[in-house]
Amino acid sequence: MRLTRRGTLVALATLGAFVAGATFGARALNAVAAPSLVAFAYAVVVVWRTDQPRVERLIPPAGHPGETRRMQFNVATSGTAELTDRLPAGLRPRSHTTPLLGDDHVEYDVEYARRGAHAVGPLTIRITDPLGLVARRFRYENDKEVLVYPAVTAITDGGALAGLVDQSGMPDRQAFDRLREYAPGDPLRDVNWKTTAKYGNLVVTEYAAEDQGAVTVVGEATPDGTGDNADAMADAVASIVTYLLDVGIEVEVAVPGGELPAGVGDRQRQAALDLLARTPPGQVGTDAIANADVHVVAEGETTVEVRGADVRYADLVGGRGVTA
Amino acid sequence: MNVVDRDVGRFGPRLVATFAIVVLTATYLSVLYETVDIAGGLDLFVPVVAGAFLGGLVLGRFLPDSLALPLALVIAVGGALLYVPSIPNGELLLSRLDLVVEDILALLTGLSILKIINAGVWATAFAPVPVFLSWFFVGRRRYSLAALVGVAALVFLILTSDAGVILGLFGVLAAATAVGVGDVDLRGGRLADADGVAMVVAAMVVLTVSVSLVPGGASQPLLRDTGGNADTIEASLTGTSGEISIQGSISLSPDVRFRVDADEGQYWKVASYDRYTGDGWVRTAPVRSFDGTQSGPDGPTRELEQTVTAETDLSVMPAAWKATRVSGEDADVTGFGGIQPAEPLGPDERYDVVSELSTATPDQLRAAGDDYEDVDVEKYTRLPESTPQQLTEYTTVLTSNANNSYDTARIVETHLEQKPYSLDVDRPSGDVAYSFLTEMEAGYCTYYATTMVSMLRSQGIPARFVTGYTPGQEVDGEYVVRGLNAHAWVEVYFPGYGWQTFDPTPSGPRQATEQDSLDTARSEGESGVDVPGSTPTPTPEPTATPEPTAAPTPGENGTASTPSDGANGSGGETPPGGVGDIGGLDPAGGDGSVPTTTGGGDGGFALPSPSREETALGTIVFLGVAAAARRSGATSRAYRAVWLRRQPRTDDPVHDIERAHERMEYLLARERRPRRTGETPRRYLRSLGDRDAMRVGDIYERAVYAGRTDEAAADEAVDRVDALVKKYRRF
Repeated sequence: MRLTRRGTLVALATLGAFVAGATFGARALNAVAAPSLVAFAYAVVVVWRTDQPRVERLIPPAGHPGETRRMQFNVATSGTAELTDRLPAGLRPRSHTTPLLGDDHVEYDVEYARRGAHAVGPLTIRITDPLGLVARRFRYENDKEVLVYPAVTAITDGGALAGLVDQSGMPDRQAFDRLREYAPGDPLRDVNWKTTAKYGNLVVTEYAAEDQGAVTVVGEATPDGTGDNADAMADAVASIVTYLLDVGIEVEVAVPGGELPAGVGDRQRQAALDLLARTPPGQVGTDAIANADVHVVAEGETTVEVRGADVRYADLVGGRGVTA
Repeated sequence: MNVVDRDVGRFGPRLVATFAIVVLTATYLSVLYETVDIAGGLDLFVPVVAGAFLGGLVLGRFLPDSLALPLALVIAVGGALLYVPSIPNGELLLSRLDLVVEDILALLTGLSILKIINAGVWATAFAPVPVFLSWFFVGRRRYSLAALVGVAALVFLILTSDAGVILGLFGVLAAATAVGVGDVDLRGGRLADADGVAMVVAAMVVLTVSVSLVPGGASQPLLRDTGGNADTIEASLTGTSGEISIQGSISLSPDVRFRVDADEGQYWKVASYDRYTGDGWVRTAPVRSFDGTQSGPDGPTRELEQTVTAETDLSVMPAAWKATRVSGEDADVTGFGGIQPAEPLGPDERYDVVSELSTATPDQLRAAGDDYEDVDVEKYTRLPESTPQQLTEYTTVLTSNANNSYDTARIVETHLEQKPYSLDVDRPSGDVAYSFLTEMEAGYCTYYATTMVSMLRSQGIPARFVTGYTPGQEVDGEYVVRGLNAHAWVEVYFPGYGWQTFDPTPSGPRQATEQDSLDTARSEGESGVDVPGSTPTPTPEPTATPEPTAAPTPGENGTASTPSDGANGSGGETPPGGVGDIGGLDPAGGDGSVPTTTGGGDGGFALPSPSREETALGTIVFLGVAAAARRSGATSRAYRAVWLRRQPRTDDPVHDIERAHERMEYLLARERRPRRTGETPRRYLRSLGDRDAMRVGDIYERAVYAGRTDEAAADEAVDRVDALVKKYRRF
């Protein structure tokens, strides 16, 4: 429990009234001093008796840098209060303060500034008396975080990745390879009914691409203290992965923050973005590099090595800004 | 809820906060208005304040916060440009910042703004600054800043001792309301959310008022009372404040103050006052140290040598008008030519004074004319602008036969001497002079002198109010002067002859009263009442003067009335400016008077019965209590209690039965047990085993589900529920 700025001012004025009265005569200073003391006494009792307010924070969903979402709170308290929320560097604003009155719902806009898993808070609620002289602070640590994905840039010049698209794990059902006998585990849709009818045994069609496996995208970044390299790497990996998944290729990801087994579709993209949002800079294991179809390295400049051929990431995205 | 209610809910806090700032502004403006009323300049004051108010409010809506202070500064500079040229040597003031600081310090430590030169212009220059600033902030909805500005202005006027306790309290309450309710407004709350503010403001009223009402407590209980509040004539005489407020009933102090060794008895003058406030007097003259001589009055004079010996502590320097030479003690002199000791005198300290007494004859004075170029005629003929016009008319009619100032003064003096004399009067609430002339049946010297000055001033004759002592008792060529000899009279200015003394107080009754007081003191054996030889031989009772040598122990007994009380209390070092409260100065000797009622200055919280202030404070307390009741849920509980016990009947039996059933369910749920979910009402009632309840349940089901009912059934249901309530809840 402490004095607010306003309370300090009133306290000084009250003290001044006593001093002035004692030194130069009371005059009507009692009219100032007595009500002030009453106000302080009332304030201390009211603030002291207030229970800790209950706060519920509604975390906004994950998003990409530059997007704006709403942070929301439900607060159960009484009287006048003030809510101050602090946000980490990757989110804007860095702090937000809202006056409250009784039970209240608070919301404010948060801009996602930078990739990362940002732990929000701490949240403080400052209870004051009705005149705002005395305040008491309640602090709420928060284990919730706001996830900001890497910036995904559309790959405009897919030439360098064309080979991957042609040869990799796209289940191209036109590329017939051969027929073979059915083995348990083969999908029913691969059964070649025509031939089966002819031979009496189940025969399945094997397509050319099916065995080629997933494209492995590996990202590495040199630690630079600011995290810019990691961001650049995550952006590049996310853009490439998104591109590959969009054309239907099965993708596997390995970055310093972890590995994502092969998969396809939206769910895989979501998982990849989650992983890339959190990944720190660093190296991956040599096995992963050996298996890499695409190897992204960010060390000031971001280079992409596609099956041994070096490409500048900037070229892949058509020269558009590579966000740091 | 209709539209109006919703609007009140939304704009209510804003209205209340704005109203609170209105009240706060009114508190300090009322003080400034009063000043302007007394010192002149109302024509300019009103438009200036109105302009500042509107300008602030309108500009505040459009301009940013950061412009508030620069604009206020512009207004302040404008005010200074208005004020500085209006005072003598104003340019000097601009170049001497130390003088300005000195003046401000003097104001902050209790110098009334009424004593400022050209106080009216000063107030007109000062007022627009806080008014503009606070209403600028109201326009910006920055209520706490607006309140801060208002309170600062108010506190300044409290420090200058111009704003009283009640006014200050109202201002502070208004500021607290503005801050608290303003916060609610800024949070988008409703008026109901400001209940906490109502409670704390009510607590302020209750506690501040009740603390001050402690019996015997000083009027300002929380702060040490170090001066100004002279409650005896003696204390007021030795006050250093340079102002006097007229009081109600007073008594006389018989203690000996000083002895004057002189060839003749004169009125021993102490101080003169020029500015009349409607309820008191203020001296606006500066004090400087006396270099030993000053010129005597114009016209023919004669010298009178006096040796004055203090019998008690004395912070004034009584002498016949006009003292031209002082020796024996360091003295100060006021701008009016009056003398004061540089340091208060102790018992047996003495000083020699040579006075030049004017010997102008009535005929000379009649012929003096009215060429007042040697005197500040504006200062000595000013009356508060609120002075009733009837005072002028009355005096004009009364003195229509006089064709010169001297005759006018004599007529007024003679007229006032017809008025009965009494120390036991109630202080009038309005203008003292007019009240004394019309309503009051009697009064004492202060009233006579004040009234005479006012009447003369209404005729354009320069006059001032003077305090001092009557000659006293002559003992062996010395004049023994007691507290009860304190007096107030009048000086009128005549070109070529200076200030001439007039005394409108009837002397016969005055002396009789003084003698009574002295006799009583002697008969009660008080010491300090006499000096050797001053006791009349035929003493009524032999025990009257137990100590013939009373002089060595003066003041020991005279409890409240020794001059030292007042002098010590307020710091005796300050130069004895003038007579403190005029009330103290009784006619002839009223020195020791103890006012039995403080008429109503800043006396404190002795609220007169149902005054406007009391009503307002009562309303505030009521609102606070209502808010507390609401917050604690007492109101809804009270409503429930009444709802449960009283069922108004309607024409619709079904409605009545439903209501009765509702009451029964509420009652049973609290007194027995609530109905469980899934339990049918019928089973619930049966399980409670109450015949009345089961019967009401039957009636209810039949009425609601079968639609078969009549008035008789409704009567029965209501009666049975009433019986149930009586059974379970009797208190």
